[in-house]
Amino acid sequence: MRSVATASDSVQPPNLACDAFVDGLTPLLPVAYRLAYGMLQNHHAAEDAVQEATFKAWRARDRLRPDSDLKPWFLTIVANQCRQERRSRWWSVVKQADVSADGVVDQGANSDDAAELRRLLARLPHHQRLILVLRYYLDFSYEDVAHALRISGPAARSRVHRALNKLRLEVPEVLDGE
Amino acid sequence: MVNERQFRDRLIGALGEPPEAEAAVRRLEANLYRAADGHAHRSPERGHPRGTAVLAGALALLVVAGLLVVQAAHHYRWVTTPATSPAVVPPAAATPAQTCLSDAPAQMIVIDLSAQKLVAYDRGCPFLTTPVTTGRAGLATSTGSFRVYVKYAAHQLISPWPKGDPYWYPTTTVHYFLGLNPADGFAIHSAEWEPPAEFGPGSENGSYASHGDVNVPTGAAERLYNWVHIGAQVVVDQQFRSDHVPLSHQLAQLEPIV
Repeated sequence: MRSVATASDSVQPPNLACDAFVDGLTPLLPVAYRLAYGMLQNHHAAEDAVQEATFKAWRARDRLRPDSDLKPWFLTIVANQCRQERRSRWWSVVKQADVSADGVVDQGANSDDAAELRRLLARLPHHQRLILVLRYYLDFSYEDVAHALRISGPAARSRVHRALNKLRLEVPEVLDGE
Repeated sequence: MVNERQFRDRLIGALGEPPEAEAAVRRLEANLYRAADGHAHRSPERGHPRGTAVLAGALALLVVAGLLVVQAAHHYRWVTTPATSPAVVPPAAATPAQTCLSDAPAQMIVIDLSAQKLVAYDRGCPFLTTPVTTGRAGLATSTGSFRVYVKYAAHQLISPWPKGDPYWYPTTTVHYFLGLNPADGFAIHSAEWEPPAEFGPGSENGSYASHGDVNVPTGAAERLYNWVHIGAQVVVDQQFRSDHVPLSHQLAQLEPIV
């Protein structure tokens, strides 16, 4: 019988392709998890989304050109998975939009503002929520946002503007100047 | 007026930091190898969320319609024969595993190896029934009476067999781990790599047979984990007879290990 740890299962040793896949994706997991959390505002759902995205990434790896950058490719899969999660969990969409994000400890008078911002963010269309999460929650530069979404820098700026307008917030003037 | 930095601070303040981010990332890392190790069999289970949502919606409607019909039937019976129709479920419908046990502890888990089935009893009545997969030939699951001595939401399994040994397995993270025997690591836990259809009768002889632990489908494992307390009794036997033999007699026949 076993001596120390435990029994388990029939997992086979990984192969070389597997190693390359794991090596490529491992450094992206923290940012992918944060992206999913920003999109879904729930850490269980975020972990599920990234987990499912890794399965999808593995199945889709043949469609990735050898010279392609893994980061925008994987983040796109994660973002699409977040959209799927919200669609498939139709019964919890309202709940997610209305309750506080589970990483937040609301304090004082600011809690209403924070809740309102979360609600507004949750109600944005997927692509606008995504660009705001990338830019402000993940603190990506415009170049990084453009790279992740595979669009030009000016297009990234203009999409951020539009998303902020949609939030009905005062559009920061510094956006144009940065 | 809000500038860009202030908006970023407001957004981060509103969303907060993801809870348990490091632990979640560690779990995701551990599962990367599993994703890359040909476990595409998750796809039939979760590959079509939209379709699943539609199906779930249709099922929900059916259930609601069924409940309405049942309620209407009950009402009709009550109106017509109020004294004699309590709408009792026929006793024949209850299998032995679904029968409540006499003199059972508050929480007890029974694992029937021949049926590859786990039944959790809450105050003597079945709380959860799930198919399981137990140890393969040569690494058969221990029988006896145990107690849950530790609970881990996630736990790393490290092979006690050296690489090259036929029983060796790569370090694997499992969830909803209920430790039963510290001496040999015997435990109940999830087994995300095993397709749901593989659990159940005969699985101890199949390709997903465990190294001695009790592998439980993830959803059931999570319910079990959230319900069970440290110290709960776990009985493992070749065949559990809850229909005829008093529970205290069955338990007395099993050798206490922990």
